[in-house]
Amino acid sequence: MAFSRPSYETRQAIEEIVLTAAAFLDEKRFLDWAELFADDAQYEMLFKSKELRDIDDYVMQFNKEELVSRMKLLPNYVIDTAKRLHAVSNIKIEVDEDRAACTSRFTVYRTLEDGTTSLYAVGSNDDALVQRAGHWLFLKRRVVLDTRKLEAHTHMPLQ
Amino acid sequence: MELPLGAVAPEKVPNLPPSHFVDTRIYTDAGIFAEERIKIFAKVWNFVCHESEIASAGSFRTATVAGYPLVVVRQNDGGIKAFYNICRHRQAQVVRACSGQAKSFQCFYHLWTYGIDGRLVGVTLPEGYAGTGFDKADYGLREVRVDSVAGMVFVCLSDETESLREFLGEVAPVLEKYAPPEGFEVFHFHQAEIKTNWKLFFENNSERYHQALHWVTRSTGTWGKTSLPDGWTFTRNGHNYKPFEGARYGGEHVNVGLDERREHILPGHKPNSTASHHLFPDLLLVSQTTVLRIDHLIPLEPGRTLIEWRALGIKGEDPAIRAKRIKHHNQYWGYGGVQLPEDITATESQWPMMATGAVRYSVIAREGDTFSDEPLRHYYKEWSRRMARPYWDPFNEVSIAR
Repeated sequence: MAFSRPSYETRQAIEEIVLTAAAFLDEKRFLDWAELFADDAQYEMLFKSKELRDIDDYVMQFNKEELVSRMKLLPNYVIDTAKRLHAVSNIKIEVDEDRAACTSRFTVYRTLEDGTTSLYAVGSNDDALVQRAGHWLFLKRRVVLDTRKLEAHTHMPLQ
Repeated sequence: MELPLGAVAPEKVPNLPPSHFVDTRIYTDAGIFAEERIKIFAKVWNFVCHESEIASAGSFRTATVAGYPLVVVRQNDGGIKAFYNICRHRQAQVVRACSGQAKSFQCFYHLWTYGIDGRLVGVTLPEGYAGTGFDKADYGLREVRVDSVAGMVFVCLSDETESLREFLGEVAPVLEKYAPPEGFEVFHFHQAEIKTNWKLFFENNSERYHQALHWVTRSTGTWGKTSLPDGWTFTRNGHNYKPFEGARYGGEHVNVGLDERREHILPGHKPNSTASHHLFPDLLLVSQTTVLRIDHLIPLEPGRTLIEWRALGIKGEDPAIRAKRIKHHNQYWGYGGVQLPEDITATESQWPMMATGAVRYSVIAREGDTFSDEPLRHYYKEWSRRMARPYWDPFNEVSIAR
């Protein structure tokens, strides 16, 4: 495939889905977030393990069905009560007809009940997107965390 | 006006056998915390890594035990050595990476160089030491006792402590029974600093009563109310284990979001089972039929603990089988699994409440069933023996009050 720079409209549409995904997580609209993924999509979150010779150390791996199932279960869990803010930056996009490749950087902040805010996690997104029925959807989202030592654990995807 | 913490008088001493309650100051008192380093961690065998993390000659892992920085290194003859990670020249940190492969170790400060066997092999501008009596043979890295059982590498800072096998007692052959002939291999490692006392996380893994957290109103637990047979075994030195509990994965409990575990079962395990081994003072081994998890607790402060989580599969296995194990680990006890975050949330909620001193006594009085607190009492009996302080009365006050 020959990827190239997107048109202004395409760039806007793809940026829109990337930023909407972050906004849905901010708002804990987990099922809406999962619906941004195509039916044959894959989601993975991992970090490069310094302790284990830089292997890809996967911490979440879901197909679409599993992703939806996890999002449905989330309200049943005792989840982190902190408010999370998911900021996305450095978005780069290339397209090839109905396919797109998008990379971005992310920062997640946590604000506790008492109003204290801390930096929680940083990393990058490596996304493959597909256009179906006129809408761009995630076909694969690979979330690579730089942060390996967490302040609190998470049932929730970080991106 | 706010009262200073500790200003509230303690409640009445529980009307229970002394062994059935805990004075919560064993979790919060800074003096007791400092004493634990000396009387427990500097005396026992401490887990540092799995052998697969230092598989080839020169491969190393750094670790901290009782506050002391260590480096553990695979030797050319296949053996393992451990050293204080401190340069004998001016005490700079010698190895600054958490893992890696080395032919030698060179201190970055004045470039003194050590072999992987710890011998001092090179000194910068050696002529300056001529005539001073300085001899390189006297300045190798300080060595620490090291040994392994079932692929798990332990160190001991004391020369007076019994051997590792004696320390583990009857748990050692049990662990060896579960080890596959090919050996285990660590495929996942992550760590987190949790805001609680290290013993509270050990407790969480050692009692089943807290399954209430996971199943009463929800379905995130793998144990139902009736699926747990008894069968704890309590051994010398405060260790205990509980093999082969039935657990629920997949099937009728598919809503829990876990796959069935009937294939690629670890040696000595049954399908859809779990087994737990709790080694005093700080090591928890929990298997979920297809994956072995090792939790290692590293106390930082009375209310702050570094936990290392490892997940292990079988060395050299087919990548498709390994992928299954990774998935199983992540579904349940991983960084984003269904249960680990809940356990951490629960134990983190305890410590700040305990630290207020408003409620001094914690109840560990359950008897006689699967949800017994006997594992906790067994653990704290060993803690008390080593600390020479009863856990229910660490400051020798209860007998006076009664």
